[in-house]
Amino acid sequence: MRVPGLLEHGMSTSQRASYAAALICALAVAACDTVPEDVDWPTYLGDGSSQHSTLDQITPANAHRLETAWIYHAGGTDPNNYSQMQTSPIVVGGILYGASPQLQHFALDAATGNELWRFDPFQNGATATGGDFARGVTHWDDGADGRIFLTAGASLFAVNARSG
Amino acid sequence: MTVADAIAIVREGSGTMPPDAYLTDNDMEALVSYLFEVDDPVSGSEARSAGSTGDPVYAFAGYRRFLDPDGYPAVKPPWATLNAIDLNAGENLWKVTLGDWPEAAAPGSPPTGAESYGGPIVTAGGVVFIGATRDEHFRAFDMANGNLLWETRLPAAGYATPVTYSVNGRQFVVQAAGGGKIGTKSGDAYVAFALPE
Repeated sequence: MRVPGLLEHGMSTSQRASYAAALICALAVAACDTVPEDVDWPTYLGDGSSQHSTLDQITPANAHRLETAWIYHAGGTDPNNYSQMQTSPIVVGGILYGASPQLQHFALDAATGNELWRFDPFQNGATATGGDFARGVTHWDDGADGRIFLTAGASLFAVNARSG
Repeated sequence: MTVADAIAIVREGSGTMPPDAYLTDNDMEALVSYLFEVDDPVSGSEARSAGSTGDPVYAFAGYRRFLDPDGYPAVKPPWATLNAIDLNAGENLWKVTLGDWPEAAAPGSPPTGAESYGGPIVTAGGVVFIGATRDEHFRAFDMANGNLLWETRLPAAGYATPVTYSVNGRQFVVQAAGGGKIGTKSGDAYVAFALPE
């Protein structure tokens, strides 16, 4: 959240943060008593493929403090630089689903980057045609059952979202 | 290129063109007959438009770029821009150069912009996030005015649209860094960014 007018008064960063937090709490007391509800990125390119998120923790005032939280190496980089990875992943319930340059699909703990499972479509009946790219996957869930839909070669797969 | 060359390329693929696994020998014969204008009933020279006297006036020659002898875009920079448009008014709100190719310009020159593949995302926090550029950087811009807020080097170029989400109240932004186009190196990293805990 941006709080205009705080930068001119010579406050330290922590003073500004405290002041901002106090101001925010004063404006919305109830909101400060609860952990904010997490926001997923459950469909390709976000909600309605709008490429927009309601998240507001990162702002123009603090973006310069961004740092690497984790890196996941999916494997499969072509040594001759022919491979690509055009995947825009999805995040559902704190789990990130994506694909490697060779279309091995995976699920990660979205907070840590720790791998939960991998699925290789070419070990499960798909035929590589060469030059395949995965731009993303699709998710379905009814509460009891969850699936990830993905393509490789001429094959469409439904994979158990929890177990791969 | 010989007929044998053409058949080999179709069968085995080339670069990012996938090998063909479906054409029968008869299909292949018909294809090369057509490509090499062999007058063969299978290829059907009638497939060309009536009255055609040879090469078409226009033909797709692949994804070619207008480059100078050194391999740089043969047009005046900037070579890429990020733009904000007011959809209600139809007005351009701001335009900034996106990316850089320092070795293409004299030292001290402003950023040139860099060829880009992949889109931006925007958040309620007022930040636009985008990788996309062949200079293998990931950037955050101020949605209000296009000011560059932050940039970092990726392990490889991020030719995909980033995503953002939160877990336990912490906002993350993730970019796939796969590279591998237009002469840039390939990579396999998904990189997550967040504010310090």
